[in-house]
Amino acid sequence: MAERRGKGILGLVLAFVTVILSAEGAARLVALRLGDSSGWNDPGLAMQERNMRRVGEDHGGSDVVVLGSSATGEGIDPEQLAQASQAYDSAYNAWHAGAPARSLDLLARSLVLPVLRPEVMVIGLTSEQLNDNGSGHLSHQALESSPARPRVPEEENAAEGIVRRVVDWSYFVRLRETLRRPNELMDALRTGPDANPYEIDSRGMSTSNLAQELRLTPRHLEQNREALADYELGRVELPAFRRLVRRLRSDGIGVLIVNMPVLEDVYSPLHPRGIVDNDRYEAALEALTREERLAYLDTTKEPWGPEWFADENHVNGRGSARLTDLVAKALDRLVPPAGVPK
Amino acid sequence: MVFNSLQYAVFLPAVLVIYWRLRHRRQNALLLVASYAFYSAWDYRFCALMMLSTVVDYAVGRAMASTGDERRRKLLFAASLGVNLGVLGFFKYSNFFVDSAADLLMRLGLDADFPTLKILLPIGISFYTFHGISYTFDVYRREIEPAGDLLSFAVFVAFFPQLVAGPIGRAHLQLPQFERPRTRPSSVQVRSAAFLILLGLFKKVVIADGLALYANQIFSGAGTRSGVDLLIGAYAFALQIYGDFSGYSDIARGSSRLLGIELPENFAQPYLSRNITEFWRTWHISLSSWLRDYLYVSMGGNRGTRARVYRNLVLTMLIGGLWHGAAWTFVIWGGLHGLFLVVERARGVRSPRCPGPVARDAIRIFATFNLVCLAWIFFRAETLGQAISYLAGIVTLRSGGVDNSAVVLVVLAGLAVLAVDIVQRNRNEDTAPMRWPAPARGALYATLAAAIVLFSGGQPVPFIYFQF
Repeated sequence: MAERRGKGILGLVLAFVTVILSAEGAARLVALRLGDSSGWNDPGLAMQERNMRRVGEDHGGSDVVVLGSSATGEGIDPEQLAQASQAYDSAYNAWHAGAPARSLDLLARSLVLPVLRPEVMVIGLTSEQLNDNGSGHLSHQALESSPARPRVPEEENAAEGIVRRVVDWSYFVRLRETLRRPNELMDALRTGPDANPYEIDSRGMSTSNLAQELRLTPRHLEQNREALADYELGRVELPAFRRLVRRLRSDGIGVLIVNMPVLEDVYSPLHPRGIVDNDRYEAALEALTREERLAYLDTTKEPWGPEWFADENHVNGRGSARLTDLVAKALDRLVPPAGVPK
Repeated sequence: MVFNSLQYAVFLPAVLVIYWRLRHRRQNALLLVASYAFYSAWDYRFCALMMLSTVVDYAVGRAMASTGDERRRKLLFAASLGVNLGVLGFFKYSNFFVDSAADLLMRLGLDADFPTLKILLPIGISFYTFHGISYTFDVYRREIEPAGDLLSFAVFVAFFPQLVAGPIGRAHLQLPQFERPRTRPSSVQVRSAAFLILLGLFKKVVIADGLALYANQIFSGAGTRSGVDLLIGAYAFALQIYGDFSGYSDIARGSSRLLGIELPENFAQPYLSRNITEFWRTWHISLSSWLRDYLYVSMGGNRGTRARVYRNLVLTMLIGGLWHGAAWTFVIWGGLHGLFLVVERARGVRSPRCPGPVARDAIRIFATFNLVCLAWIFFRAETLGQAISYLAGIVTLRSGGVDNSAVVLVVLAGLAVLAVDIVQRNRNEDTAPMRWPAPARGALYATLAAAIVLFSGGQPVPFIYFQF
């Protein structure tokens, strides 16, 4: 009886281990095909990491780093910024798709500051990045479970440390964001390791919408509505944003906050309470910049018609040139902090 | 604290370790402290409300048992109902009725500027007030003796595995379990409890949370999505809410079994129902049986003329809808189910007792599932306008693209749900896989665990029924 029971337990354990190891093996095969991006759950992030490391190694970093979501990634051109600015020679656009403020904070700590060592950070924001309830958490999850997370071990608690070790070892865990979306996984497997879905150039800028005239698609409007769902300010994202700017200031890094342009007639109504939510966001951002004594560029004070946009919250090439020019002028008004080593 | 969180993974074992070292009364004291701590993890301020409800129901139960005066018993019963329904009504429905009245008056051209209170809805209020009402009802009807001690009764009301989303406790089933000393669960019971927790986590994390993203996206874009997308969204929500709620119930039953308390079954493969009558015998059983026993029967139930029976059915379902939330969408959801039940009753349809020919059953199951999904559209929609726009999109076969990822995930989740339900139904047992050969069990446990890992990460998503 005891022998039969022992065999039963052995059979159960063997089957259990076989299934788990098979899943891990399959994930490793997928990782072989996906290449570097396999660790990032987002090919755009993988591309950004590669680019930043190269800029860090080849040029010793970047004077100015732009941080934000895709609106910033497609809006502020680092090449033009470096040329137009009187005070700074180089710039890099370290945006992350759909990034809420928490992600900007994590990305800055884990990758941007140690690799690019900027003198000034330009942080572009739209209202969705400070929403505590929108779909931004998905983008944050992708970043959190990427190798960016383990690179700040001093901030880990015991449970996070265990998770990090599991993520380090297991491709199945590391790749779960990709593996659980069968269609996207198939696309990624077809495209292979060099996928660059956002057409990110060597200075981090996304060039996919440069030649695009305004086109409003139901799918994109819906994505923005998701990002703005149950609009709430002040619980998670705003404190995360405050932490980020305080950290930058305490590290002696100059900070310029940019309220990014949007096609207001289309974008504001996507908030649950329409313009009221957008006004609350702008008031909160303005208050924070005042309290923290940060340089603030509110681009929405200027008129932005449809001709400047590719969609409701991304500027096109024309809009990008105008926006970058505004940012360059605001940058030159900043007094660079003295004694910050490059 | 939600079941699918790290805190609960620490909380439950910690309670269990201490619990099984204590004697009976101290076990109850620990359960009470643990239950209030569990509840306080959301909002400690509402603990007082639960205490009030507990003390009133306990005192009323004792007082009803100690008097033979029928008038006095009736008064006491009414007082208990008044407190429970008053608390529920104030916190859950006051703004709904004020807003609806103001809306109606405005439509009639009258000025109606009523003040609206900013009232927070205490989590689980619909569940624990129904525990209390079931107790006073049973004592009033002399179906049970009143609780012997306040401690056992307080644990019955606040028992943490079922506190915030059921199954809704029935005094005659559960109170004796708290009043009697418990025996340590056998190894078979422990394994079945662990399996229920694993299965519940799979349903919640993989099926419900995996589909939530797509269901949310499709419902929020109801006005622009294609007809096919909308249909997929309705199926996604049907599977999501089943995974979410039955997953919660499985974890609650598994956790409770580890504490030596058996909770009633809350789901019995509802999407394999062949008509709506059968659906309501297998979906949220603790609520449907509660409504049947205390509402439908009290209104006369099946007695009286046909019209009266139909009225009872529709009213019960309307109130069942309103129980879920203070919104017209829930009322219409309940009304639709009431209507389906009336039509079936009028056609003499009964809940089938045994399986029929496979093809016929498959057609009936598919038709019933689609009727249920039709009603879910109202349940899920934020507003009536959104529900109507959603339905219009499906009926008119609105053109547009199809979200292939959603289709793939809905099909995969549907197959997973079907597989679990068929295995359970064939054995008439929700832990049927426990009888499988050891290697098959090992493979199943590993598959469930791997799927949970695959779909986990980030903040745990709260269960849908917490809002009710």
